Amino acid sequence: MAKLVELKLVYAGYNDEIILNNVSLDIYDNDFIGIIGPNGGGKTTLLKVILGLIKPFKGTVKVFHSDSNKRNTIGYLPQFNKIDHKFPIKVIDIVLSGLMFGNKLFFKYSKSDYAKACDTLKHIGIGDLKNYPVGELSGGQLQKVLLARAIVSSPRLLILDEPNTYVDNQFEGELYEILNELNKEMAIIIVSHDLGTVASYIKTIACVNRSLHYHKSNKITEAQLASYNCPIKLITHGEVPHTVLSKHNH
Amino acid sequence: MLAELFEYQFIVNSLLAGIFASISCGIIGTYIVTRRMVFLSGGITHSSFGGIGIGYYFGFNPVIAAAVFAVFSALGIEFLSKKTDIREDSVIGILWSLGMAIGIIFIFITPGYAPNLMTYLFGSILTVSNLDIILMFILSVVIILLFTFFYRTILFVAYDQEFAQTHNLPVNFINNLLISLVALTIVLNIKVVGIILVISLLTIPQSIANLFTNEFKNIIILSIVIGLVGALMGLLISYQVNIPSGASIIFSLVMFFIIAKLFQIIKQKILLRINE
Repeated sequence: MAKLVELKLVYAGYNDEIILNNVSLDIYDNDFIGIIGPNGGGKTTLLKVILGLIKPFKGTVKVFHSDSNKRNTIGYLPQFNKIDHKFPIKVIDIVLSGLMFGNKLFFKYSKSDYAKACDTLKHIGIGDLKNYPVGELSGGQLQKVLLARAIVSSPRLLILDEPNTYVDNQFEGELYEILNELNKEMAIIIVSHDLGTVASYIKTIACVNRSLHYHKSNKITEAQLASYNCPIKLITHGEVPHTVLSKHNH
Repeated sequence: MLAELFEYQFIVNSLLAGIFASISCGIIGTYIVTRRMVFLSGGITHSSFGGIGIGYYFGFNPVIAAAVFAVFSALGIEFLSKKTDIREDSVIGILWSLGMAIGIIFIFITPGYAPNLMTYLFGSILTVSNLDIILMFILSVVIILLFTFFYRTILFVAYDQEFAQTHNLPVNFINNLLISLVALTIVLNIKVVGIILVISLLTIPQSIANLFTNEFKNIIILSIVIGLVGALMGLLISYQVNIPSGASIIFSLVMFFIIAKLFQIIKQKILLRINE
């Protein structure tokens, strides 16, 4: 399997405050990693380091591009509350922005770009919303639009920052089905505040609390979490999903 | 009555000023409102008074001095709020009052009386000079060209900077370019309605337009039209009732806003009743 991203002995944070301490992580094709950890533990910081949004104080971050085409290696779905829900823009325009790359000022879309954006929306099940202004969408619909923007360029790695906040259970289920499907074509990293439902889809777990512990299974116990210095509660969500989590023998 | 009005150069100039003000404020105001930069723009507006004071003291054209001063304040706010951990709104508050203080100091130590100081505070579209008109014209053309050719880049950076950064878009360049245009638009329109009122030209037409459309491009076009009608109506009222034009322009715009809002509320009530 090809390696997509390599973090080696990374120290990173903001304004001289170190949040990530000596973090190393390799991400391969078709990985499906769930990142968990307490608030302020550095989950989002880790994503930003991978995305190149912040430069680490120390250590190296390498992103391996498949070919000379450096563009669509990583697709990104930011945290929901970072997005202005009232910005006057149409759904299709947001998705098209996922096809804009590079340090230039002038962009023009080809017909195939437009078709690709429409197909992606249809694929996610919101093809009929393409001409809606985003202000009129529900939280779940907007999340899907942002997901469409992240995957329209067919990236090799999809990064999602808490995609399951502010949405109802039905959307959450749909989202995981879509991700499961997408995982055949791309690696996925998902940050989640609760491991409950996502656990049955992810393959491995990364516990981030200043440092990172990589757990090469989707089954984890509270005792293991404690030993990783990652004190989060395993929230139970009814029968099916949580059994994957906590009934595992200690 | 109208025919005789056009014989006066100052009337023609004020009409041209109204047109160019509507264009530059319509476009840049839409950027300001959608990016929620109204407070930042207020800061830039007031800090530009420092430039006016410096211009008076050293004998430069106050508008050009204010333009330079405002662009540096705007870039300064961008830089300080990004590179340091001072909160952005605090930086704005500091530069807001610092600029006013500098302006007051320099105007105070300038020998003699500052005759048209009031035109900068409250505006006077009837006294815009040919140079003002030329500058406003150039600014409008530049803004139209940039927003026509770089529309998508500007829109996407405005919508989600972080995402644009992950796609290597020229986010910093766009931000700095646009904040400079915001500063220039504010300063060149100060003559029209004054420092105290200019923020309303950048926000009221957009707020009205936003009642009717939810698309960036349409808000721009509607804002320009609304701004223009407001400017013409304000000028007419100012001429008829003999009151300062800046205030009558803003007053007209706010009236439009109230009428539009009432219209929208009534329309929704009717729609609700039909649905029942």
